[in-house]
Amino acid sequence: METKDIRGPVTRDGKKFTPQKLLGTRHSLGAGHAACAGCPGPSVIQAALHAARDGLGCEPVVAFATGCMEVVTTLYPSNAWRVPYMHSAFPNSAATASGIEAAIKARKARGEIPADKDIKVVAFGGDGGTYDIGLQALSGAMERGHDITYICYNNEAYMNTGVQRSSATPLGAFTNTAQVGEARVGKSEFVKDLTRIMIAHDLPYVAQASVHRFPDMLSKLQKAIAVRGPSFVNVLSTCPVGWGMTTDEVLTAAELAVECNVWPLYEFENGKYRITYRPANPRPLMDYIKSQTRFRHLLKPEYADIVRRFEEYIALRWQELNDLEKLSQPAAA
Amino acid sequence: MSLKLKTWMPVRKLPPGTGQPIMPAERTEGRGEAHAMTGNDAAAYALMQVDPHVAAAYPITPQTELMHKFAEFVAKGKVSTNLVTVESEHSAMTATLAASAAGSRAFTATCANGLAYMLEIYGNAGALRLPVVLLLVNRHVGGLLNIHNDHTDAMLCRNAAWLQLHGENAQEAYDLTVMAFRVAEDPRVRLPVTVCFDGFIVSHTVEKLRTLKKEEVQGFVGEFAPYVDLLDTDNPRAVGPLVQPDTTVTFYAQVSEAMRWAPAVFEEVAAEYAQLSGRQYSALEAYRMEDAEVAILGMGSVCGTTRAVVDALRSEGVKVGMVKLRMFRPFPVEALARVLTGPNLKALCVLDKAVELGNGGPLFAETAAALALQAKCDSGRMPILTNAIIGLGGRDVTLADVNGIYTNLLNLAATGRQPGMDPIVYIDLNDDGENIFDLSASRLGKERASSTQNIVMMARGGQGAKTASYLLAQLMIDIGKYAQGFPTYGPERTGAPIKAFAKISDHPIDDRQQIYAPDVFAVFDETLLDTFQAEFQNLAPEGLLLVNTKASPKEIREKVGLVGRRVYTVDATGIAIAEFGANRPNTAMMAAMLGILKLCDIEQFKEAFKNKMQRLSEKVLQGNLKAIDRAVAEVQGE
Repeated sequence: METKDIRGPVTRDGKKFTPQKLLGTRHSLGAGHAACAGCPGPSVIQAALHAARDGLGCEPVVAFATGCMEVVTTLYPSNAWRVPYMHSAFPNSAATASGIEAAIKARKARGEIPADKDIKVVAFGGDGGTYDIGLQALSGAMERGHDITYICYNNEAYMNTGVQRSSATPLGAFTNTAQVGEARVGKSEFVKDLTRIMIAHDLPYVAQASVHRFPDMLSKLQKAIAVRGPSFVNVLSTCPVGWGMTTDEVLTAAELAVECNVWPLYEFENGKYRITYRPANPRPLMDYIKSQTRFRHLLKPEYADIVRRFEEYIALRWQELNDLEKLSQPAAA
Repeated sequence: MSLKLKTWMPVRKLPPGTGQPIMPAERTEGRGEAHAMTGNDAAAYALMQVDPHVAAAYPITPQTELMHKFAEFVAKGKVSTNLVTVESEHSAMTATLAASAAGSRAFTATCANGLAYMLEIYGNAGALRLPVVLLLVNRHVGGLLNIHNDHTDAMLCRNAAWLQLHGENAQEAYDLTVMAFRVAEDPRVRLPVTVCFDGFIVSHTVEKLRTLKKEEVQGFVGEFAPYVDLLDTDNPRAVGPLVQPDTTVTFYAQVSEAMRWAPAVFEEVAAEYAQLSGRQYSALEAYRMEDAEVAILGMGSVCGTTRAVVDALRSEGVKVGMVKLRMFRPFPVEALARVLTGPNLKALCVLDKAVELGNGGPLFAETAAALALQAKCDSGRMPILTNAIIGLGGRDVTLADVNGIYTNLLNLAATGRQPGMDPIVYIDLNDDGENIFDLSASRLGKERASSTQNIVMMARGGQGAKTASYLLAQLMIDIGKYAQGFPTYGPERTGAPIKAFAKISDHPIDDRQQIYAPDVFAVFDETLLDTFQAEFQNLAPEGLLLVNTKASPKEIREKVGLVGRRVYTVDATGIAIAEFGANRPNTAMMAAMLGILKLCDIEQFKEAFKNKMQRLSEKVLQGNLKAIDRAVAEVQGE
């Protein structure tokens, strides 16, 4: 199958930005925010804003959905942001970004700000604000083709409100609204694959990344922000509180998600799929399940069926992704 | 942080010379180019002249045509506004606020369910002090799906930190829209403004208004001077923080203070606008209140109908008056109390186009509270208070309704007794709570008909009756008369029976009721004669029934059983099909009507038709012009 660049994105010029270069650069999110110990959320934000400012030389303006990172960075009268930031509600981070982007265009057209000033609107939301309540606004903003990058920091449940299930919560996981008992065993549905939904919007750039694999995440964030148009990155951002881990297990759990193929790392660029990291020896799903107390009950033999369904689902998706990648490659002569 | 608690918060005084203005309602058209426009088009025209940076909107009836018109200005390059056609009202308000925070002048427009959907973000606008403007084309919202007008949507958002202005007609929709930006952006206010006007009744009625020139409007609103600017990346600001209990009151106290400044600023802005336009505006208007013994308080289009009744009753020597509330938020407590506790006023009825079910209307409750405070603080006087729930869900507010309310008030004033703690009536239910929606002609309607030509067009959807009512009103306004042209709206689709109305007069037309006892019934489709037969008996004594048919006037007279009056027929469909090949009888019907009534020279009509129907192909246009001549020549009557 031949794939075509139907959008033909124009990208910002950027130098390759590496984690080493983070040292000594400006911090866009100041120290002293109130995130939980061990929370990797702030580093997702830091990475994105560093990629924008230091990697691409553009000025980021941030739109944020209500959620953990919103609460911990702007607890009035303190403010951890060193870039312009706006929040108004839970479902509308993408719509906020749309409005700011529309203003940039309008004000440049009137000569109120220099036409060559490169301002990039970067929108953030958790999985609740992105997969669920904010999906409509996200879909609308992406369809309209605004020059915005949307980054979902996905911790797979409503953590800010005290761990309730979202459509990003995996099968069988315990949450406070999908509890474990005789009648129910955690969440009874598979995750909603939002990354595929965003690919269906035919965006120039969509990617899945994980906080534990920092260079890969940074590179994807930079590619996404470089696009002059809509782009989306879904970052797995573990939560020690909601997943049931100690702070030193945060990155290990994320690593296991990737090594077990629960969270494949891939990108969709100009119509082509590319798996950016392929586990050399994929680990069994049980290793991932054992790493977090939200799955503790699945270790019991009576719930083996749930684990089996989970495994089948992962295998199916992984195979599908490999097939799509193969289809994206140019046909052999 | 701790707040020192006081036993009572003293109200800080505004600067001397400012306050909550009351102005006698003057009838002046002011200056500017005359137009015939609907309320929606008038608001869109004002927005085009303001030319904001950003607009974000989502379609909802009856706001749709406002945004259609604005989108037309965008497409034609008449504005440089970046129009974001968002996927929901929630995003419309969000994007509008975000654009404002990014240093832009921005507006949105909605109504009813759309407002309900954006309500979460609506509150943010005031709290974040973002001076955006919302055009709210008032429509019912509640438990029932009804697209027609009332104020339930405006009342839904009455507790947010927004100014809320209500326009009576297309002229006010235009003027208030221009002024709204200035008031909102004033550094002493810096609050968003909702400009309301009644859905359909104003939004879809063609009437006369005068507009400023674009450069005058541009000069009046001035450059947008942002207070917060997210695009000033050298000075990053965080907009919309998480606020805790210890700072929440501080925030709201500041917003409340800004709200208190708003009436004074509105007064200043209105004074400057009056210099430019010759039209005076104030937070509330007192109409013939000097010696009034009974009065009605209302908002929006009902005030037009009420004014017409006041004039009629005054001409009989009855001392009635009206107070029109233009600024509902902030509620002008002092001014309202001052005007309603005068020594002569004995009884007051508050008209509410919304209801708190089980209680009365919100406007009534707030007015009663204001009057009670005033009575306790100052005069000790208090009129008898009643409340009418009127025009709910688009129920037509008639001259007869308003006349009935004044009659009731006069009776109460004679007895001097307050009718209990529950003085609330629903117009139009009887004592048993049954619907008595009686649309027979009102006495006053007939009286005013002497100086007004009232025309009812009956047609099937698609035959062009709405276009005919609009064209007729535009034509009459173009030749210097006053007119209203408006259709009925509902779930009608192509082929369903509909009505359209035109009122034509040498004097300004205040009343907004539909027409029940017309001077002309024009039936565009012969098969509707049975459907509307009962109504033909309401034709005025010298009235005219004009039917599109091959039959003779005599045959039609027999068919509908009309005694006296005049009956005319013309084969408008036959003419239309012969001349331009489509079953669009409206041109020939209008021509026949104008020919009989001699409202204008037929050449004037042809000229106006050519101007308004530029979208027609040359062939179809010429066919229409021929149809006009033929209809005038071929119409026959007795």
